[in-house]
Amino acid sequence: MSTVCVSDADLVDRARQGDAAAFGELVDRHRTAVYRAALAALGSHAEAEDAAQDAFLLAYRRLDSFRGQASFKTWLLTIAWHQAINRRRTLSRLLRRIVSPSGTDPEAHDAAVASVAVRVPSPEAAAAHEELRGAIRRAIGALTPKLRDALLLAQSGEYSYEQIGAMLSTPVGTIKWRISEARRLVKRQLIGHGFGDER
Amino acid sequence: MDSAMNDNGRDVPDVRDVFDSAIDDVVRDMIGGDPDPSFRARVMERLGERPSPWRSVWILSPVAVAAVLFFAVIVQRDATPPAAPGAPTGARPVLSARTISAVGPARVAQPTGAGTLERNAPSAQTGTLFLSPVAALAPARLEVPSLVITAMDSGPSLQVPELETLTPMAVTPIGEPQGDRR
Repeated sequence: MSTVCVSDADLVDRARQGDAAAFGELVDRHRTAVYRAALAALGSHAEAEDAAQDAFLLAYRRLDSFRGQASFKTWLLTIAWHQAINRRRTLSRLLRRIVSPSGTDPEAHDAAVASVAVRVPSPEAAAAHEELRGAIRRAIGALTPKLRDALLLAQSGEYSYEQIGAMLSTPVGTIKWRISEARRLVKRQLIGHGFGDER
Repeated sequence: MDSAMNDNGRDVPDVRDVFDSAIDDVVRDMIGGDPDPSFRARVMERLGERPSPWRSVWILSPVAVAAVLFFAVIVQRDATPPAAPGAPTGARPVLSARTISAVGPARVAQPTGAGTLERNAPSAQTGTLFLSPVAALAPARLEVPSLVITAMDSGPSLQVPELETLTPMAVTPIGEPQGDRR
């Protein structure tokens, strides 16, 4: 049966009744959004791919708990974000154990993990060698996780503010403030590194 | 985009706008890209998998411990059925002499007619005999003679001899010191 014109809600109903192909269609529709959300949290393509797969599996097992209060995409993205954040925490703990057994500020460590992850050369990053872009990457990597997550999710253009708010369990107003603050801090870093004069 | 005029009168973009667009580009790069083409196939492959048993065990272990504890409490409660009114309290824990002395005569019930210690015994008014299936499986109660406490004989009192009264000492004041005074 063609699923081109079928809504997400209908596909969810069919998947609940055991139609695996219907769920496969949902995977196809939302895999990029889920994958990119995971990538925003993890900064590594391989980790993001695993987290995205886990998110779809978890969503499939929890389909009965989907009440339709939010769209399926928002619900799915929220699951994906939590999966990715759990993975990030695990990686962070692992790195903390390896790097400094004495234990320091977890937020700072998360930032360190992300900055390390950001420097992992992706195909895109390998192509981008300009000095400014490198500095921006480092500045974004040095942001606190809350600011960085909001900035990455918002600037990706994949998600509405409402979806980001649902994913991060944060009011939309706070999301907007975080994005603005993140941009301000990145620019300040760039100016501090001599990339321009503030006017 | 805001712009400013440079010395040559040409429009140059504001540095912050340059930063903004560069940030957008970098962010798009950072979270750009698509999942592997085999993504759907891999997800569908894993749909049939059961959740990891390790994870189930990990999640269930506190629940299992709580359930076992709860069950143990229930079993222990049922294993000591309440005594029927007037029946000897056979399987009750035997109090050691030290315990009895620590409790003291006021706490230890005076020997009742049957000479038993009435400790935590259910009242006769509530004494409906409750036998659960678990209690039915319990071994037969031990018939142990009840503890009898006999009153101690009061011994002879201590004889303390009275102390002799000492004769008071007469103290005479010392006279004025004699000698030169300046």
